[in-house]
Amino acid sequence: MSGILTEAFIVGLLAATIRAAAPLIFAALGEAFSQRSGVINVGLEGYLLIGAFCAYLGSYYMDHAWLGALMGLAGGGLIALVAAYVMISRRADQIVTGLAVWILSIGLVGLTYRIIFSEGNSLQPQRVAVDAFDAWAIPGLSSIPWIGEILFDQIALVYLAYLAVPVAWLILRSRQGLKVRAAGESPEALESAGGNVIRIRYACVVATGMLAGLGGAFLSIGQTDTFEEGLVGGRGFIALGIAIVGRRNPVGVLVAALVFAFADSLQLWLPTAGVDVPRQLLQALPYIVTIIALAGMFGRVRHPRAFLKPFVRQA
Amino acid sequence: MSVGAEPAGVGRVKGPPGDGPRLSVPAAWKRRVVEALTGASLWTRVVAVVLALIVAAPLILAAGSNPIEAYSAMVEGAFGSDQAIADVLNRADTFILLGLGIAISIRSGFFNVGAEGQLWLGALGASVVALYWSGPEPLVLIAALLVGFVFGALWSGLVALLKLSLGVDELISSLMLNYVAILLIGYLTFGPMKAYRAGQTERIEAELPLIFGDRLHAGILLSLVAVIVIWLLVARTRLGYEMRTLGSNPDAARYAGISAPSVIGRVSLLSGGLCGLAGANAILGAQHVLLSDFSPGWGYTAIAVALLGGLTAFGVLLAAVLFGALEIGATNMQFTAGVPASLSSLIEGLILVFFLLAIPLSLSGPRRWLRRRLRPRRAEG
Repeated sequence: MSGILTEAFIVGLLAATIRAAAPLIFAALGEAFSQRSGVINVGLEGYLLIGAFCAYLGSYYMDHAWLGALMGLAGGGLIALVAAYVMISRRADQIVTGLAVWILSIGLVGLTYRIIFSEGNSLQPQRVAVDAFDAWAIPGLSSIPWIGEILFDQIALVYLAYLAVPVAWLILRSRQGLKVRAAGESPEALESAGGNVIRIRYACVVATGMLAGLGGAFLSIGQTDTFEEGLVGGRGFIALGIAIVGRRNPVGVLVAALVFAFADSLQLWLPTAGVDVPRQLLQALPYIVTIIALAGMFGRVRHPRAFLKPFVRQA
Repeated sequence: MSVGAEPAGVGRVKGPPGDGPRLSVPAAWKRRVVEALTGASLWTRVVAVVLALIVAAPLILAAGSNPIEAYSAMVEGAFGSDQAIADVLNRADTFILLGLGIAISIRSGFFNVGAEGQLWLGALGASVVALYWSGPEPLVLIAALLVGFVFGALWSGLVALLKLSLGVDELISSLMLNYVAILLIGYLTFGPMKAYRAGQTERIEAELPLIFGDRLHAGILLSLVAVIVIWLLVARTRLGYEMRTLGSNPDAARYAGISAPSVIGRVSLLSGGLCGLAGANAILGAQHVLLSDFSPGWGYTAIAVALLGGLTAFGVLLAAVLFGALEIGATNMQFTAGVPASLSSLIEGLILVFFLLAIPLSLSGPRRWLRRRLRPRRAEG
């Protein structure tokens, strides 16, 4: 246990927490908006997977991490557009649609990955390292003791995730944010005031997909330089929980994401300090924390009134 | 539109305390799903399958194969020999048991997607019995199946308990428990239950009897019995009536004096039990060893099976055979046509998406659907 209280351990653990929260923030921020507008994205796990894979592909073909991230953003947006069409325009059940989109994403990525990256007849995809994001220490700030190392020596996508929080906070309080909330609370009122519920819900879902695409990009070309099919590992579902536990509020989402990221980083860092706890039991921590958080430890959450209800425009 | 629509434009004030927020899917929309899925016609499903095969074709071309050749290799791979058919049925029995469990759960309005975790727990239960109890083989088999059932039921019961006592939404809690279950078996197979190789147990000696050739085991009989039992349960028993009422009309269920917690509790145990049985069956029938990567996500595929099967026992049976054939066919096609077997999981997802898209069309009938689409335009012009 002596290894826990060293400076290197604490700084490393906290820096890893800041890092690990980034994909959760990306995914859960958009999801918070979607849910406010009345739509849940159960397919979030799939958006992340598609985003991660497209980012990897983009970086593989264009040899530039930023172009990869852009492709991740586009890929996540596209799959979310498909989900949006089925859920919003065709008014299919959101939960079932989400599961369908998720299964579809797994198949699409698994197949494409093997088609492009397997050699010969083995059909076992080869791991190829691509251009990935490098840590970018912010001049000046990064030389602050401890804090600099924890906060300001990260990759660009991490800064982007934390920048997105205040931006989302501002949007939620703007005129557009009011419309989003109205689409979820009382869509009829919004329509009679001249708003367009369908368009707002589409925008929210596609934005969720694009943000999740960036989160996926972080998972493939941010924290590593390659791709692996299981790399999302339930983060999409955890992000769903985070959006709800964080009360669909950007600040709440940030706090919840940090708590989960801490649990996640703990499982990576405790073994380095010589703590002899089975790896799998530590890995189960974030999932168990999600359940406990949803069990009302942080108070009950009120759903928007039109949550999960398709909108039918009156002719 | 809907009867429960609130007056528009009224400032939102806090609702009465009794109308407190609950983390669950509004009942009206659960009802809609159940109706839509059970009401959709067979043709909707056929159309969905055909469309999925067509849409997946360009990717087969991208893999450097001819789609028609690949699909015929798939059919050949699934039904071309006795061995292939035995493999299809051995896979189908897993999907049948899982699909039945998921179907009764969704039908009673309990959106439990924890089948994957319950499957793993069932496999664990059966392995523990078969590895550590050396009784007469028939007894060991029966005990292993029973314990698999109980392990699955308890894992699912935990989800119901969390929902009924603490209001935790079953969707997310059951998903989280899936990961916990997989990690638990990972821990055991790399730790206390480890054999000479990490990540797996010793070989499990007790085996389900073979009923045809050297491959087809009795699991398919077990799952056919389950189909009939579940059909009888849903159609003929009091619990079946209660769960159908609860799933299709919670208000009516309340007036009829049906206790939702009691029905959800019992259905979740039965549903988890069936999924656990699927795990026990896969271990004792096909795998004969508990691996740290025991299931590639059958519990999730089975959600598609249950939905495509319209949440009915015989529908699940047909959908399970279809998906079993897709997967085994794809695995064999990988060798003969050189297209990755992941094609099956893409097709499964596409089938489900097209099925969802086609449901509104099926419910109102194509002609009425068309008329409704055309009318507003005429009125405007």
